[in-house]
Amino acid sequence: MSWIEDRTGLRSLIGAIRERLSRPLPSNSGGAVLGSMALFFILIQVLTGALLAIYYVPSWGEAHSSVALISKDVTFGWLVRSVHAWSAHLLVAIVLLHLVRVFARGSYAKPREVTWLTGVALLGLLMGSAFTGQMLPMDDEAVKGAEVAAAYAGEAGMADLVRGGPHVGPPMLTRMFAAHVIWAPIGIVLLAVAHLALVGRHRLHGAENTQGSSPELLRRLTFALLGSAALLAILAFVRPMGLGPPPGASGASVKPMWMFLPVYQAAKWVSGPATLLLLIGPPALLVAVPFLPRRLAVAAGALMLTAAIVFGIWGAAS
Amino acid sequence: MTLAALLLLTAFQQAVQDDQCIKCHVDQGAEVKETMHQKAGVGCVSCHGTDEIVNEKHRRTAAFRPARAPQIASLCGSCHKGVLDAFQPSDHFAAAARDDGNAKHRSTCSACHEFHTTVKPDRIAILNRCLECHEKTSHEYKEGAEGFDSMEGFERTLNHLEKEMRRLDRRAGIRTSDLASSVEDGRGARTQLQITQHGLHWKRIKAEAAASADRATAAYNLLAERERRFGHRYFGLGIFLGLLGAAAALVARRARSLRKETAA
Repeated sequence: MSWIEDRTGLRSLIGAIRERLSRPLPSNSGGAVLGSMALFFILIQVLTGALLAIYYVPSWGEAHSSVALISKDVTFGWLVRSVHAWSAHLLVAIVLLHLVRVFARGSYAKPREVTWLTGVALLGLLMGSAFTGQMLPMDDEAVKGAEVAAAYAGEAGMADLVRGGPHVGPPMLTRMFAAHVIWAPIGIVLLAVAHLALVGRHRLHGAENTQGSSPELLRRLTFALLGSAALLAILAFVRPMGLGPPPGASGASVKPMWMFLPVYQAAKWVSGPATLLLLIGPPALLVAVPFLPRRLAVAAGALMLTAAIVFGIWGAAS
Repeated sequence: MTLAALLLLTAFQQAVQDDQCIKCHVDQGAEVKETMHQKAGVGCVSCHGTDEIVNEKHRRTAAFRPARAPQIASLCGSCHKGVLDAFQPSDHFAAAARDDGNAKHRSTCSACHEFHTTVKPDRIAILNRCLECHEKTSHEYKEGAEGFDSMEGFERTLNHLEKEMRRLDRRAGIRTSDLASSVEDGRGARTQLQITQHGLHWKRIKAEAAASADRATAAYNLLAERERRFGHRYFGLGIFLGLLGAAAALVARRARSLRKETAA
């Protein structure tokens, strides 16, 4: 063991992590575990995504059959794919809850503005990953969804950027694949590291002056992670991800993933450059939050949250 | 290009000629409208004759192709070659070829098929046609009815298999790719039986239909078995959740003792 320790410093690293974990928590830190759950789901995504990449073929003609192979023929392929897909849903949901909680408690205020900004950027990349990942199975729904998304992007004059050509076709799949497995993961890992380092630097909001160790952290963290694993397993086992027919097989209309429903619904009412405003407005507001007076930020945030919930439910019901 | 142009031209001429016929033969015009034959470019003249039709009042009706039993089969067979091959060795073909004016010996294609409407004849209608010549207690009638029964049984089984494949194709965890060929083979066998039935070899048809039905049933059962086996995943879920529960209990105990230490 000392041979490894001399050359790697592994034991001191473990010691440092233990020390970090035994730091005190603020008394109302129940929701602070949301960030840890998000990290857990990110790790699950990296692991299952790497496994899926062994069989996935990013080609317009073969993607669907390769996903069918994963889902139906490869041993436990269905489980890996289902965990990957469900974990994506849970990840975005947890990050949104995390965002709402941090916002409600005003934890983004000085000196944590940059922590907030890295978090907002992470949310954007995670939603981008969800969107690009949804297209990769190349079933009928995925291709129709890509067409709808390209049409929205077209309203903002960005259709060619999204499609990589004049129509939804092979270049778009290649773009989505590259974004999903290279660009977004690199960005997410870098931002997550920065986000965590900043949390370590400034401590948790409310815990700056607390003394003593905290068995509470160990308990809450472990329970949250075990609970996340249980929820993920139940979803993946009970509702394994199926695969729609290849493109063009059905005439069913498509709706985007739940996280895009508010924008989907709102975009029905606007066109042209206003769509661009719809796409850029919410992230811009999130970026501005730490620099706005608290009252204004609360008012804008509450309005945005209400709008998101109302339009989301409306979009789901429409 | 040349072939496509030629086909277009033929279809165009056909339409022009058909229009002339239909001016008077309104009922027949309605019967052939939008049918498979019309879509395939098989017009009035394809069966009823060509040269003599275009004169003004077509008085030389004798020059029209006579719709006699032996000619009908060869006329249909010029396109439906496989069916004619199957039909030729049959007693029905032989009877029709005698062409002796006996109404019972007009057992050619038109005995069962409506070639104006091209509606696929259903089996009950065909069996009723059989009764026009054969007794219900006759060997021929019984054999034919049994042959139809076994073909129908096979087709039902194949339909079930196709439906099950469509359902399970969308589901995760259940392998279907290796059974796609079973469905294809079944479809091929169905088409083949629909052709060979014209030869009236009912024993062979029954045996082939039964064998095909057995193969489709085996594939169907295999799918059902795979779906049942996929249900075993819940045992795995149970074990996993049990492990998580045990871990949670350990952590809870550890946290309790830590709290006691801190308090002390």
